[in-house]
Amino acid sequence: MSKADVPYGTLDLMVLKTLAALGTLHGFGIARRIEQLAQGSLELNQGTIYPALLRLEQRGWIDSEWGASEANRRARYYSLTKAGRKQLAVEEARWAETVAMMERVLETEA
Amino acid sequence: MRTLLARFLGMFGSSSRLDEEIESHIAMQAAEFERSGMSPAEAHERAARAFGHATQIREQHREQSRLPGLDSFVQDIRYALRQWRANRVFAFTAIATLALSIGATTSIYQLLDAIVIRPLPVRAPEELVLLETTGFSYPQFVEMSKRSTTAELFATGFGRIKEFRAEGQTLSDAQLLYASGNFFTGLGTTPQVGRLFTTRDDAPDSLPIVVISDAFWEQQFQRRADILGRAIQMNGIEVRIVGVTQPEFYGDRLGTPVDAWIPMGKVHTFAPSQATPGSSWLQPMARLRPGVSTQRAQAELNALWLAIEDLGIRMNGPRKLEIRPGSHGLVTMTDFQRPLWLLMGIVGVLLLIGCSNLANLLMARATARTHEIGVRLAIGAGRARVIRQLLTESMLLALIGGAVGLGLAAAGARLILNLAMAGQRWYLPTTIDWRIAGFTTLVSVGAVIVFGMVPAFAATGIPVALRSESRTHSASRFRQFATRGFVVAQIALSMLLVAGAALLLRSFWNLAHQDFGYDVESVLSASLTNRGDFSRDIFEPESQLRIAERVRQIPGVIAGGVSVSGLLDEGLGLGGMPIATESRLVPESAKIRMIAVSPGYMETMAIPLKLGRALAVTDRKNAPRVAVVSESAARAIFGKQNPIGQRIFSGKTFRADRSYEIVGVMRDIRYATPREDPGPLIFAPTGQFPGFSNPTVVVRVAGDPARFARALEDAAGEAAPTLKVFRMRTLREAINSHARRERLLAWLSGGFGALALILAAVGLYGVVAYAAEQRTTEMGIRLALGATQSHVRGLLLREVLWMLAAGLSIGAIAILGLGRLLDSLLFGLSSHDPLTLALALLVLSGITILAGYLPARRVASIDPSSTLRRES
Repeated sequence: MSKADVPYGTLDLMVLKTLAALGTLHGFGIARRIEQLAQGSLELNQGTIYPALLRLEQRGWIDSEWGASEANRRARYYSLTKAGRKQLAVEEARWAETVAMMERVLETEA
Repeated sequence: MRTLLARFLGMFGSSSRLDEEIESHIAMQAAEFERSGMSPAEAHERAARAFGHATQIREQHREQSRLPGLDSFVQDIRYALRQWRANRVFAFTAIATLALSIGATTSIYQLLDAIVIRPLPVRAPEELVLLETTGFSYPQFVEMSKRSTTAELFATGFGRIKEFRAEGQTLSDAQLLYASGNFFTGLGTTPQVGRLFTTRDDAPDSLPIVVISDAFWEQQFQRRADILGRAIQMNGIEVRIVGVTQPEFYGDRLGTPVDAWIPMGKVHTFAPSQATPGSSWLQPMARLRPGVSTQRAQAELNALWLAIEDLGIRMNGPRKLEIRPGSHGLVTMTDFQRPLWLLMGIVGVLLLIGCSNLANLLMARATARTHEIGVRLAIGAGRARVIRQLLTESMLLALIGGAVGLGLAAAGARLILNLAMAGQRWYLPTTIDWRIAGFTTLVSVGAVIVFGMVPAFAATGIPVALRSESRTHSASRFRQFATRGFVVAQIALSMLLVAGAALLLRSFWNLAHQDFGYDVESVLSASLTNRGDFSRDIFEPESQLRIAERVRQIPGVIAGGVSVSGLLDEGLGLGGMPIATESRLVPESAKIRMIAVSPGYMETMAIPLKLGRALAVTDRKNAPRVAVVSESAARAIFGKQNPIGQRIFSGKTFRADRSYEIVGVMRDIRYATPREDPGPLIFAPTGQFPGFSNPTVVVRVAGDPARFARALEDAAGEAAPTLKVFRMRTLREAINSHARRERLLAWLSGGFGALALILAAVGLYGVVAYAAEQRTTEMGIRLALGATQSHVRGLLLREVLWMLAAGLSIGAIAILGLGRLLDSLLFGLSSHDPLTLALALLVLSGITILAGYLPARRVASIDPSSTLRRES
């Protein structure tokens, strides 16, 4: 099976979930974390998370500030806001609904 | 809100934050790869690949980090401004072209709006009607308004106030109107200060009052707040100012600057002779009462008009009254309506030429930017995005050009009006309001569509890749075609304008320099009236002869004379008078005019004598009555008989004792207006024939007549101390004021035609220079292989000639087709006048060929080796 593209609209959810799980993290860390969790089944250009991060920040779901990385490099660190936490719950519920719905559809098909 | 602000600020900020993030991201990934055993170089490359398309990310990021839409818009504007800074000549040419053509269009539109489109600034102007007759006398008007049930009548008329003083100053050219008491309420306007008058102010026992205009308040009283209750002296009577009208209110006569309105009832006080039934001087308007149709009002008012005769009020004029729509008031500028529409067409064409010029400029520039645009398309900018950028640039050009044009338009409209009014006072509501601004915006946006679309699409139609190096690639074929199409269109449109201008110039020339029958140069004329008091001194033949005698003594004056009702005087009666001989009666319809002139008058005007003698000093009041007739008058009265020695009588029944002996025959002259054919005319000596209107003194001088103004006034004043000069002008000026419409059209169409020529020449020059530039290599090779310079030049010029031929043919067909629209405005030639059209053709061809020749010559004289090197 070839690697899948990131399903539309799921990148935001993945980023939110990652930040919820790991707390404050820089862009590279988030990208690596998603890659690891996908275990090679996802074709992710690491760079694409930056527009996603900006989008989430503009909506007020995450915050960011400059900090020093492990190698003492300047990096921008992202963290979930209160609104982001709420949004994550909403998105998770919606995703679960979608998945359940898809399963029902596929079952009847079978 | 905060994010919106952040985005807004972000628009102008740099994208360094992202750059830094990307950099550190890739470094971290590379470090990770290195830890797993890769070489630093390989690790960095793999890291960059894992990150993906950084440029695209940046672009996407930038799209997002700013206000959607507005962001890229601001970016495009900044980009365009940067481009312009790099190419100032382009920016300047483009903006100047647009500003001039939009400015011209807007200024004509402004006039069209003020004169033709905009109704009176009053309540419900569509309910207003004009009552068309020869004019009402005051008693007629009073009777009609009393009786009418279908309409409320109101009227104005010019006041003959002998002396008008304000603030201790005598104002000689103040414009006063008598207005019926219900004028302001009937029209439906409100005061700016104080009150407007009402029917109560018409009553004989009311205090004399006056309402002044906003402009008069400004000029005479500097907008002083204590204006109400101030006095104006009219014929020595104190009149109180009770109010000022709104700034935009100009009364019922467009174009006439009114300083003050006086209640009409006071005409009994100031000019009793004007209040008689025989004096028709009022122009009425009316507001139809609610629910009344025009037909009903017409029927009623016409019946009333006829019935008034039974009251014993003398009727003078046609026995029919007609109603016309009056929403524009008593329009006095009808003679400008057709010329304005014509000018609107002209500036419209000019705008098209300007636009196609710009389209070519943009196209040439887009071609110069082929490489850059190709790169932008190649690295992933969408075609729509690039087109949007190019259109934004056009839009910016249009807006700046439009804004500058709007500024020019305000000045332009004033300039045109001053030209049109030839020194007369005028008033027109030409303030720039939302309509004008809206019009300009519309024109500008229209211009963008015309000149921005084609180049934008042509420029981006290049197949992606950097193939722009091969310059004559087929992708640019559409562009070449469009470019030439624009040039042909420009030549055709210029042909239209240049030919039109040539026709109008010749028409003006014909009118002003036709054979008048007398010598119009070096003659100064002064129209006379009485000063202050009411003695009729100036109207006595003795004083007129005295004046003629005195002015002849001014040093430098060659001849002098006096006539009643001067040459080219609008006041000269329209109709003729009946002339009787012993055997027959020549009716009014033959339009024979008879006027009194002093001896020396014919010599002053240099009117050639055909038979007999001119009027002499001996033809005094009590000497035998004599007259000189014009050739056409002789024909009209006597047919083929020799008129010398015959007798004529001014009236219907011949009376030998009061008849005139014909002593001379003069050439036909254009006496009343330059436009009319010379009508039959009879001169009788001053003193032997009564004068009905103001006398005019004329002198023929050596040198510039305008320099004798002072001397003439002084000399005349010595001869008749009570006289006052109310109009002094050279005969040339008098003719120009008659030909003001033609003069205006000639000047403006000439100016616009020249502008069109310049634009077309610049456009063509650019296109040929560009084509030559493109083919430099080809020409270099040809030259290297032995082609002569003239051969190469010819190659380039051949194309110019093709475009010229195509443009001229289209233009010629258009002018032959559209010429009919011009015909009614032309004097003494038709729109198909071959000489004029040939001249226009010649001028246009000359300029076009020159504009093409210059760049062609440059290419032909290049050093072949240098161009060959250039391309390798």
